[in-house]
Amino acid sequence: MTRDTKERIAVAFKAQASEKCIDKITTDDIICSAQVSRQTFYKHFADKYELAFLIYRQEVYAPANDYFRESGDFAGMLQMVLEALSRDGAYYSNLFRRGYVPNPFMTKLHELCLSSMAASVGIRNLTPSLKAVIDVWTSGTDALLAEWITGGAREKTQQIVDIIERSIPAELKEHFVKD
Amino acid sequence: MIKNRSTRELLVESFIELSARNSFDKISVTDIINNCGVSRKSFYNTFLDKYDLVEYIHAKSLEDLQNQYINESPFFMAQNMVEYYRDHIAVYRSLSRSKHESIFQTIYRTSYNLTIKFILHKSGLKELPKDEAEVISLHVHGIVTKMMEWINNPQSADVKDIARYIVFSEPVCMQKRIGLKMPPEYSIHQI
Repeated sequence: MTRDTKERIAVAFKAQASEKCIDKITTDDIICSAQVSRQTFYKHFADKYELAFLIYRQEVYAPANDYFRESGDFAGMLQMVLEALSRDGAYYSNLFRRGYVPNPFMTKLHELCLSSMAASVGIRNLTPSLKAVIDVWTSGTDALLAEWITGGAREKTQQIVDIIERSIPAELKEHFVKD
Repeated sequence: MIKNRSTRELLVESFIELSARNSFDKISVTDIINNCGVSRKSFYNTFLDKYDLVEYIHAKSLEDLQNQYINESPFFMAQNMVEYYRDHIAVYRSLSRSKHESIFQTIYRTSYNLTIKFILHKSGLKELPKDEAEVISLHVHGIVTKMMEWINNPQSADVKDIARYIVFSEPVCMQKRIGLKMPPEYSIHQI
């Protein structure tokens, strides 16, 4: 029953966020549309940004990450992420933000991407320096994805995957698991 | 001497001073001109708007740096660049708090153009292939983001470290073009 409720909330939220910017959506909007109580909402989610992040993690990240862990295919993983994003294009183009104004969703997304990128490069021991270097690459990737999705996902996913792969910091190249 | 300073310099200084106390969004052209006694007409003869003013400051400063250090090691150039941000921390903090995407685009675009210029100079090319330019674009986004984060939390790392991260994060194609050879003592595993 809990899963059902969470799904209702997620579906309602996605529908709303496909129409308007997440900053303009209130908890009231969500609970009305999902027909759940405020108490129920806050039982599952701290706020709408956490909700958005959990949706992302479940729908976009998890399948791609599972695939990567089985196959070690970094490009394939990226491809899956991009395809999942473009399937919900209207929703993600409202959600992704460019610029420096911290958006709690983008912040969480960045952390997730960073650990994912680090894993893909096969780094087990993430020293502060390695983390900082991967951080630069990840930030660049976030910006590219944001631009791509908010621009209507016009470029082919393969092209975007190419850019991300070729942007890998030279110093990490030796770690990079690739055929 | 105030008399000998150009209108442009006065407006730049006025803006920099205001940035110490106000976020970029809250600074108006009126504020800028009132703070230095330049007429509105003169402002608009010099700059299109406050975004143009910011672009001028950012582009000119980084370009001067680039010209000065272009034949030095990339570390040295990166270090000077980071020091420039540190020395103008109030301005960049003020910019980083803007709610408008346009200022972010301004800084990114200026940095990107200068980076391309640097690469072309070092490599002797007239133009970068499109696929390389796209990689550089991603890299510059990453660097600008990192710099903006750092200026809001400068205790998180010192200037030398940030400079190293900048250089170490360069993609392969960029390193090849600028002919970067890492001295062994600068291995990423040793910092």
